[in-house]
Amino acid sequence: MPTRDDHLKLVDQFTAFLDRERPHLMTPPQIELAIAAAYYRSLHYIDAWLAIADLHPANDGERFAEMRDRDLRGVFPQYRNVKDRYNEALYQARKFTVYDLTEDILDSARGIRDIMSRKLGC
Amino acid sequence: MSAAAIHLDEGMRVDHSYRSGAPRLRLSSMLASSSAKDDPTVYVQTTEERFSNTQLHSLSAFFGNELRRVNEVVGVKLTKRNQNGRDVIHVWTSLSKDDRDTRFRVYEIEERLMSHFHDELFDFHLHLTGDNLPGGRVPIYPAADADEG
Repeated sequence: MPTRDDHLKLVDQFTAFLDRERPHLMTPPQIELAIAAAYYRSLHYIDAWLAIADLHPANDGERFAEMRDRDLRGVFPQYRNVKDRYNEALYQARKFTVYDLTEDILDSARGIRDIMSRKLGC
Repeated sequence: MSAAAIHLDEGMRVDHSYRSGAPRLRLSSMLASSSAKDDPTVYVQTTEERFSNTQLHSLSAFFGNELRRVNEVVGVKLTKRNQNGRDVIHVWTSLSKDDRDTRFRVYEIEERLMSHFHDELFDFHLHLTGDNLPGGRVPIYPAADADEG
């Protein structure tokens, strides 16, 4: 199963994508790709923390329960927001603006990054 | 359809149907025509029989008490799926308004739900009823409960 460091390597890859692509200049479908990157990065931050305890959730039901039990309640609302926006883009063909991306979705993703990087010491 | 209504204080009412295959279109019409501001009813629907009445009653009562504080919530649907050998209760909350503050109020309620029912696994989904959805106001919930995330 993936280790903390395996997850953090993926975090770095998605962070590099977001930094390189300059979200405030994006147009579709870059916006949708950035939303996906923000979601995947957030998920791997959380799973990196859980992997330290040898926990490897197979779905969000398990992930949410472990977040509740493993001191990750602080990132729950932000993770829910990123996940919802990702699902809306993916399943509902919802169109997002640059403002939605930078002020809502990436704002939540930054909140997750700030909390998780402190917890993970990275 | 066998249905029950739980009467709570201040006129709050939670309706839910127990029978599998409950007529979703009818319920959707009820939800689409109701304004949470004018009608303080939160409709809780389940289309599966795998919920025990006690479990469903408890979840419905929780939503009735918590979600009435969020005027933009117009409906909740509960489904239960077996995923990786464990039942996961999926909670589909329908909002009449896409607003960051509203969404975060719902997230806080979801967090309390997980703490309150700590033996259950939950996954959560939000859906909008507003005109900004492709196809207009009709799609309260996804037609086939797509396997999201």
